Amino acid sequence: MGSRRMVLLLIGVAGFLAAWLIQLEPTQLFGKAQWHQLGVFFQAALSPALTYEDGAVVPEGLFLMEIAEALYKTLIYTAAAISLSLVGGLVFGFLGSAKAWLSLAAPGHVWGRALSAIALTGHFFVRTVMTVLRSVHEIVWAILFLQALGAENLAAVFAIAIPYSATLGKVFSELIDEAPRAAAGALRDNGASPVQVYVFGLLPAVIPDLLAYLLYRFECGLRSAAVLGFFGAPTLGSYLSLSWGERHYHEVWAYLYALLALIVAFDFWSGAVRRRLTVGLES
Amino acid sequence: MTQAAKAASDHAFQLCEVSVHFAELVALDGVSLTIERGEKVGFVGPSGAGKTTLLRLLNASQRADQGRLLVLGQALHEVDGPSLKRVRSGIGFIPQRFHLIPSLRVLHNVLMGRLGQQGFWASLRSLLFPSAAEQVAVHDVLARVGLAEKLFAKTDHLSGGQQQRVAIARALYQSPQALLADEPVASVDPTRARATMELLTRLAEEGELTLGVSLHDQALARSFLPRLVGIREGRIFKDAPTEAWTDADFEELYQLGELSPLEDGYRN
Repeated sequence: MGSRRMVLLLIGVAGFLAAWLIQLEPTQLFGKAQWHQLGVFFQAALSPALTYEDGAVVPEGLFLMEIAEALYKTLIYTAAAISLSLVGGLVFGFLGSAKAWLSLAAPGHVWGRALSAIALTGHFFVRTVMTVLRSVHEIVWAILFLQALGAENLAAVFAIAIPYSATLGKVFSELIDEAPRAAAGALRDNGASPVQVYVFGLLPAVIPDLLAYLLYRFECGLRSAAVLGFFGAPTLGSYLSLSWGERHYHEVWAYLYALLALIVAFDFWSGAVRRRLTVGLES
Repeated sequence: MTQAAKAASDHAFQLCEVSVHFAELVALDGVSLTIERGEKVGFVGPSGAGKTTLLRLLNASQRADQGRLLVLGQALHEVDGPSLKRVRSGIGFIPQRFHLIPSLRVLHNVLMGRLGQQGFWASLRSLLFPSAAEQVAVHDVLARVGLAEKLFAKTDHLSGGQQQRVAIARALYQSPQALLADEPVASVDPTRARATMELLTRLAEEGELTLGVSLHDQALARSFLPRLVGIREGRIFKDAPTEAWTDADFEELYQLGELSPLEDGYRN
């Protein structure tokens, strides 16, 4: 038996084993009253609400304003969190790639030996810190900060910015590590200082990739910010959970469609920006 | 003696019994050599002989393991960071593969020639917001290499020969005292090789610069450079005015050693 077939077989066996261990029984799905509830929910998808479902309480039209407000808050929370992550990511990325950079930029430089010593000790520390920050999900950070700070605004922004900083820092330092070094070496040989070698010799090559990745993280940030609404942030998720709690499924669908529209619109826009970054720099 | 008179009397480069090792490989073995200011010197020899290592030594990019090395009057075994930076920025080095930043415009690649003479913030300002005077200065060096119209072109849109001239312009923008070119004819179209050599020698004469060029092509070396230094297996094989070089000298220089051609080619 080929090793590929062996692997496929093992994956299949592992799947069945896991299902058996957690007592997954397809029969659980049948004959439950919840099916009716689910049917009602999905029927509502066909007619998302344009006004409040208990319209008697508030005047007509305001519900659309509320959707707009939910989207706006989600967007500005994401913008705040991503801006903060960019700063954090650049710092992490710089520290995380310092070892490789200094070996290139500062052999024999008067600051080189001192900087290398700091970088070598800092390097391992920074990479470890990044891994720890990244491995804790933003929801866990949100719950932590909500406990600690109470202030939802800061909590939500930090909850996203912390893991995102670490992820950006990791990607950024790897981009720098893999950037072509020949041009940077040429600048060093023409008398550029280590910092100049970094900023002018290595950064320009990674900026388009870095910006493209940043835009992708912004899109992820929109989803994260929306979800954090369920945990106390005043973003789209908080509006959703209110409507959900009142079983206003038409409203729920209106919010979901609005979030979908926002993400699709952002995806179109960022796609256009990315294309300009990769092909249109010279025009 | 005044500073200027002292500088004028200095040799451009002086090597005294210099050796360089890479692990167990001896790249240069007891090389002694003096090059006067304004001289035009070709370094010839088979590949792997040590020509690139020698050029990197002259550019203060490579440390000597043994021996004394003076570059532009500066003894290199005793310099620290800032003087090293000053020495390097006084020499324009044109790498064999140009080593430009492809995603940037020609203007920015040339502006980077002065990094060694600027502090970080000054260089950041100059690259992000080049002043009118700087743009004119870059335009002028590009005009000297025949590329003035490519000032704002994106570097990776240029041909290999044009990129080489951008690398030359970047070196010129340093206002160097010496130009060093590593195999400048190996990475361009053979038809462009003569033009490249013409350009380098003309620029050296115009700017009264010391010129050091490493190259394989003995015909080009003989027609453009008045002094040739032959290097073979890390040692100086012959150092003489070009008219003193005979065909037999070249034959011997490029003759393969005891090893078969294949083994020889893979030795490095």
